Amino acid sequence: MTAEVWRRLWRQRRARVALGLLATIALAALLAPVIAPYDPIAQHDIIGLKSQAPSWSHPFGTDQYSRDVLSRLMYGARISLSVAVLAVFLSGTLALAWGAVAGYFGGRLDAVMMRIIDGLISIPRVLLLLGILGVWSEVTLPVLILLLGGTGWFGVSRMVRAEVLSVSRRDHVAAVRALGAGDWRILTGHVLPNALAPVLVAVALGVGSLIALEGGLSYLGVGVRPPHASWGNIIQDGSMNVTGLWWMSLFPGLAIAVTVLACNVVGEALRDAVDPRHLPGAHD
Amino acid sequence: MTEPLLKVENLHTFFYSENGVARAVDGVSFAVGAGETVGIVGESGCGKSVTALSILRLVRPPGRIEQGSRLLFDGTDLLGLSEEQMRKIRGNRIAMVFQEPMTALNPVFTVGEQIAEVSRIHEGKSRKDAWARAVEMLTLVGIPSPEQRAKEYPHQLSGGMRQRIVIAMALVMNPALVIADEPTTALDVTIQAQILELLSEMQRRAGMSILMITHDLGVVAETCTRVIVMYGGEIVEESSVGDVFKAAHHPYTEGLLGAMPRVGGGQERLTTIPGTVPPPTAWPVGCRFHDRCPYAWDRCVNDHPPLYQIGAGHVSRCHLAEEPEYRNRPHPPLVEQVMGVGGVAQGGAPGERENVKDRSELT
Amino acid sequence: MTAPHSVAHPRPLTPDPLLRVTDLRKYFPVGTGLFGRGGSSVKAVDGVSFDVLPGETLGLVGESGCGKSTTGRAILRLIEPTSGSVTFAGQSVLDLGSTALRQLRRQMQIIFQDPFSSLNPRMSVGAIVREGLTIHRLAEGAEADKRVKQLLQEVGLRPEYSNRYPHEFSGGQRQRIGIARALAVEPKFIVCDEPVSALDVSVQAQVVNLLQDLQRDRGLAYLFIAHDLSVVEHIADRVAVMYLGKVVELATREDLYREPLMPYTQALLSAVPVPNPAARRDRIVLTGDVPSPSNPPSGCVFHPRCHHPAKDEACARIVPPLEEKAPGHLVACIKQAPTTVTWEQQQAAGATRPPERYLPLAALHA
Repeated sequence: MTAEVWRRLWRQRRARVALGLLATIALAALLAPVIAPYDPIAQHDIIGLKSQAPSWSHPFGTDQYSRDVLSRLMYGARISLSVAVLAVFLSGTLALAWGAVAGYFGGRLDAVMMRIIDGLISIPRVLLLLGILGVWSEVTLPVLILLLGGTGWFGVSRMVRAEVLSVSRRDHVAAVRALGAGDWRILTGHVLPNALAPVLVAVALGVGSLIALEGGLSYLGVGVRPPHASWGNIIQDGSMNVTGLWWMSLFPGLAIAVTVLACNVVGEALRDAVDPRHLPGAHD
Repeated sequence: MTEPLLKVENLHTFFYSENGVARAVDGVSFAVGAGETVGIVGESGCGKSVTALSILRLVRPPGRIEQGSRLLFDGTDLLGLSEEQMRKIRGNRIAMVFQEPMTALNPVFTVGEQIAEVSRIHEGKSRKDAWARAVEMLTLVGIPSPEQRAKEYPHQLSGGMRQRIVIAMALVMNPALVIADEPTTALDVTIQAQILELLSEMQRRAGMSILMITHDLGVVAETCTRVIVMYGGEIVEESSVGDVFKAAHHPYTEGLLGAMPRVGGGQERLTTIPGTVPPPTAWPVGCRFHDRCPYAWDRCVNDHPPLYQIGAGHVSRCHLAEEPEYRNRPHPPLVEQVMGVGGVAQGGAPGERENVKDRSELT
Repeated sequence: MTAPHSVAHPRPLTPDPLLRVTDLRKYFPVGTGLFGRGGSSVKAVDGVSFDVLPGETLGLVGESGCGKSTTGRAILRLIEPTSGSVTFAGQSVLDLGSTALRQLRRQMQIIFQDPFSSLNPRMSVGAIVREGLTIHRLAEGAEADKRVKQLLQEVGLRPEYSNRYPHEFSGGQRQRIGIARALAVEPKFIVCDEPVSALDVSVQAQVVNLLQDLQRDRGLAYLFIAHDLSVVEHIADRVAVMYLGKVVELATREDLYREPLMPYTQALLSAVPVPNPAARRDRIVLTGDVPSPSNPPSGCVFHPRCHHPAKDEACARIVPPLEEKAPGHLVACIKQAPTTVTWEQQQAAGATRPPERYLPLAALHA
């Protein structure tokens, strides 16, 4: 990302606010061991302190095992955010590699690779994940990340391909080819840097949607599993009694909503920064 | 003498941005008589296209026509009209032909529908009558099998055909004035010949006036009776076409003529105008051309020249009119003295200067 | 149909050519499906032959869609030609493997038309110019910096500009950067693909003069592609005129402008507006548009628009060979005398009018 793009991003107020929010949440997650008021797994007093509404000592209340919800939320952020970021990093890399190869080399290879994408994209992602995760009871975090990342790159790869295709046709690429540069140098040095912008936007938007997806899966009990806390399974813990234990759904729900929203705002602001022709608020 | 059809008086059109005020058109006055063809020439960034857009009041924000400008068309000041009244003039009394016929046409309507729409708007014609008129116009502009072609979409036609369609649209209402903004720049030379031929034939038939905006002095020589040379948002020379090619007065006009390679001109080295057009946010003080001028002397640096009368109907914005002896003392222009390297002084400063044919940045 | 299309090389040349292009073709498939079946093709370049001598400029002119740019790019294999042969300094360019081709590219460079898309917006000017030095390991470190600065100076840019980015430059300056990039690898031959078409006239003159100076100083050979006949006359030693994928006339500059023999060249020359109102003259106005290269006319591709008085049925049937009408003056027209297509052959193809020498005044510029 060039300094110019960064400057245009930072000039947008909504982007500054959203980035600030994300930074706060990330910092809270990062520093959870230092600043969290309680051990997130410790059951302090399973009888006396269970299912407490928010109070001064437990600002976000406690769950039915007397664990502090605020602390769980902070630790849960570590899981939720890192699952989302790593999965998006994975899918971004896959999308970039697949799309770049298809778009740059073109021809029949491109046609075959894109038909494969057409096939993959036609499978409903959530159903596929539910199927796999539901059958597979021993899903560890790395496997979850692989599954989430491995199923999330099809659309983006198409975008990368289109971008690479159009950049490859520009004369400055012909010029370095005429200078005698090989494919690898052309692709990595001259094509990809000019095709990266939409991927960055997709990544920013992707982090948001992955947090929501992971939250949903964990809520259904097939995502991040206990004893790990994630925003999704905290909500699930409280789901037996949503009205009675409202704080257990409200705070993690808010955390998800705010993070997703912030990611989307950053993504859109980034899109405007990359391509100033996009009017603020223009979608897709 | 009768009143001219169009009289532009003291036109100022400025663009406001965070980089400052771009004085794209900075005090331009000229007239176009009935049935006359007047050419405005100059390079990108000289203000010729903005002048054209200003006359139709099509300058969009951040651009603005300043107070004190007057656009007298057939006796009425266009700047005093409401937007509603102005709309009745556009496409009706004053029509425009753009450079790029593909973007001037709507890709989702047939060309027949688009031509018909003009007479539906301005005359309230019925669908059927308007269609008949469209086919008639297509015949007039020399399109073979017009009934068929009317049903086709712009992308099905060649560039030359599209420009004929655009001209047909412009002429539906028999306008008194046609403003042609680089009407042949996007076309090949043999097609350009067809289109220029068509325009002059239409003029012979309908007797309209044409304001021809172009960068090509050859096009001016072939089509115009009078020529206006613009530089730095101002008129620097105006004369009959014959005078400008025989005895150009302004050093910029002279430079333009010398820089043009000509067929039959052999291979003598082209004279260049060193440097680039300055940005409209910072026109040089004094003569706006002084730093690129081979004759400039100290007076030119501070004293902004008025338009001097050189001969009958010939004016030039150059102090050589008063002190012709300086023409005998050519020297490397200021930009080269500063730089020591040919023709690239002040380069690399913000943004575009001299420029490519894409003029979208002004609209 | 009667005369075979001439593929023999036009003429023997005294000096060895630096570049020899023989019967070059590039067909683009259109409307093909996933497995490349069932489409027709656009014959963008259809049997083009010419030589470029060391240190000379060959002008290649024609209107949009005539295949001139495709020819330039096919020679450099930026587009893979469909068939034909390209020999550069004794090497058969089309037979080279990728490593050998990359080596050869040091000697053959290209300058583009569009000053915007031809420079990588994310690289500084210095990095753009240096790229060729790095690829061919010509210089590195401080030595490369020095070379880059020399190159910028040579094309008339301030060496201090090397840290700036393309968007900070005007169109003419960007063309200079593109020229410096090409010069970095010290080529012998440059394809100039409409290098001044997008520029204003005063800047165009600066760039034309620069190209001429560089040719003089470095002994470069140019293939100068343009649609503007006046620029070509100014810069070229010899000129080839293309129409619908074929070279229809090839002659020295003097001959071509003094005595254009192909009716298409005549029309092209007569269409150029003359910046001299006293010299308004008649003009050959061609009817209609250039036909589609996916379905070119039979026989002579120009016959539907031709104004030669002897045009007849045979023009639609006989593919005219590019043949010598005068020493070193090649023209593809069976109606311009003399011709190797005999009158008997023409009559067999339906000819009613014998060939005659036709040179309308409208085609000539005083």
